[in-house]
Amino acid sequence: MISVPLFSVRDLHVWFELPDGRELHAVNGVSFDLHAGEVLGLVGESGCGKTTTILATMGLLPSSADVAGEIRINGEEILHGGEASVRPHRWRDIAMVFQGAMNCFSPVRTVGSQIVEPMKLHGIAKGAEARRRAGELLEMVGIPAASADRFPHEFSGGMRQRAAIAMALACEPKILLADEPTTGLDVMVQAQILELLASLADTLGLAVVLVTHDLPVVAEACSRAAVMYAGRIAELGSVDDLYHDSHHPYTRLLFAATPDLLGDDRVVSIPGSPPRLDREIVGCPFRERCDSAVAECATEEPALHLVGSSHVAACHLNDLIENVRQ
Amino acid sequence: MNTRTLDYVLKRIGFSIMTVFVVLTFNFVLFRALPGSAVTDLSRVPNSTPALREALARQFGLADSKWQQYFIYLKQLLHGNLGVSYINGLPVWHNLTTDLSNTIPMVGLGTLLAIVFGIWSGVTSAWRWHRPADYLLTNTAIAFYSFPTQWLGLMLVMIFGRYLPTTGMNDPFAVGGSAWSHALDTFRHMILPAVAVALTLYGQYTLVVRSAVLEVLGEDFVLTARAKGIPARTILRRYVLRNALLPIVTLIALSIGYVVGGALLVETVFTWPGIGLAVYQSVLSRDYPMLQGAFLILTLSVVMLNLVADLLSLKLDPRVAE
Repeated sequence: MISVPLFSVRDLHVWFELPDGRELHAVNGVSFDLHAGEVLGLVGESGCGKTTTILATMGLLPSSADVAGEIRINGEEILHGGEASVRPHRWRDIAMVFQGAMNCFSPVRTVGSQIVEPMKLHGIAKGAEARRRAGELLEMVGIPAASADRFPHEFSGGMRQRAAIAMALACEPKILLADEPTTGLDVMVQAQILELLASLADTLGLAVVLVTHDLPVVAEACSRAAVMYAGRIAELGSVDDLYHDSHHPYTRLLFAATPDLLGDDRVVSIPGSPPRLDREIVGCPFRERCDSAVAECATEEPALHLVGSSHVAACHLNDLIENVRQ
Repeated sequence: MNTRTLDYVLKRIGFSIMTVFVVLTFNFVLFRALPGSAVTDLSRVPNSTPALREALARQFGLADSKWQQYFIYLKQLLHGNLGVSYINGLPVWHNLTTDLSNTIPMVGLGTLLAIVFGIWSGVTSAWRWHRPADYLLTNTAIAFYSFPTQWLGLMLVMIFGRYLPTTGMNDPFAVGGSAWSHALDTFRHMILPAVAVALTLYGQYTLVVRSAVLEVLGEDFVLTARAKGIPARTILRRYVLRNALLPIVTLIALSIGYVVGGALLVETVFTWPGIGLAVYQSVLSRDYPMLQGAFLILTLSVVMLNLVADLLSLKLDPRVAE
């Protein structure tokens, strides 16, 4: 595709300086592109840098974090100008549904007033017009418009989650970042929310990044997914490719570790735990847990290489197989 | 007002009335359980006879049984009669109003200073969390919080005694003069004790406000507000302070409630003729009616302001009634 991607993350690095002078590299060279109407899953274990990645793209990390790389919206770089250059884009172009979105409303103000607030701030609408829009947004996510005058504690968990999505859509953003938007909800509500996100991407042409550790969620809602490990992308491709034609042992093991209701395959677990990010990683970060590591894995870090049409993976095995084939 | 709110309000009012009654009873029992009595103190004259002691006891109604005394006390209280001071024979009510009119401006000024500066430094140190300003303000607050009040008062006397008056409310030799110069003189006398009160309260305010603000700063809705593109100052005002207000309002209400209790230590160090000093002297001379009266006023004031704080928090946080 030649067209400029709507949302582009290039070589994103995030590191924290620790009090003892060492550095913790939470995100290491993450890149991905996103077009309108696309839903990209960002999958991986806890602590693999998913949340840090998307917080960094909005410039929302605490000041103790150092960030390098490029974030482009429609080709325009937004991070390099600092807080002043990101702020106008926030919520206007790129909005977010947070992890624990249930607590994203201030308890002392009505839900409606908090949905209206960014509209006024970014000059989208004000007064009665803004309130009418807030009501419409709430109805879109299945909440009666009259509930806008109620306080967050009067909503159920699922309602608050949906209201958070309505709030994220207040300024008609082009990009929606959703960080574990269904965690802690029961399966029925979870399905409703995923369906809602997918249909919003479809009808509004929204580009969605869906962060989750839950593979069935990815399978249900995403067209493409990036598998993250130790702050890096291990493999990125269409959900079909990842499932049926994975080119990274981690992806394969991750899918094998997901229980299947109908199949009678044994659920496997991946032994060991991810490497510590406050130490320099030599070679492939996954090699110690990998079931097919080779000698090279200990010395050289694998780079992302194309293994299919718009399907990349970072594993030495692919390169070896490619060499043999040639 | 829905039924749940009404329920909450009635419950708080009922609870307040209960508290006042319990404290009234405690006040009665407490002073009579103390060693010594008014009579032993008053009759500490040479050659006091059993007859004199008996006469005194009868005069002050101490000859009756404790139960009788208790019911007389409650009955007179209902009529607004706080009794007569054993020491100067004047109605307790008269003594207390004089003391209160001295205490309220001084302790009030000190409390106000503590509230203003304490909130400012609490918010500033939380906002500059783990940066030099935070360390400076927090450590200063902890220091003032831990200094004993009387020591702090004596330090003020030592350091500023050269520039400002350190005892009493007025210059006893400044006879005549205009009302204006009299008021100015009182104000000059008020500065050091008021500052002592302010410094003792300042540390507590800073620490409570700081932790309340820090707690809110870590909330998801603050991050969400940043993501919405709201400027930092607006977030601080609209989200952080608004949500940190609850513990701060309670603290303010409580310290205003304690204003009428005077500041016993500060008033004693600076011989400020307020209610704190009166309580101190009444304890020494077993002046039950004065003590009962002073404690009654303190109780009523603290309970009332607690009630006000509860009702305010209802207004500030819709979750309170739930």
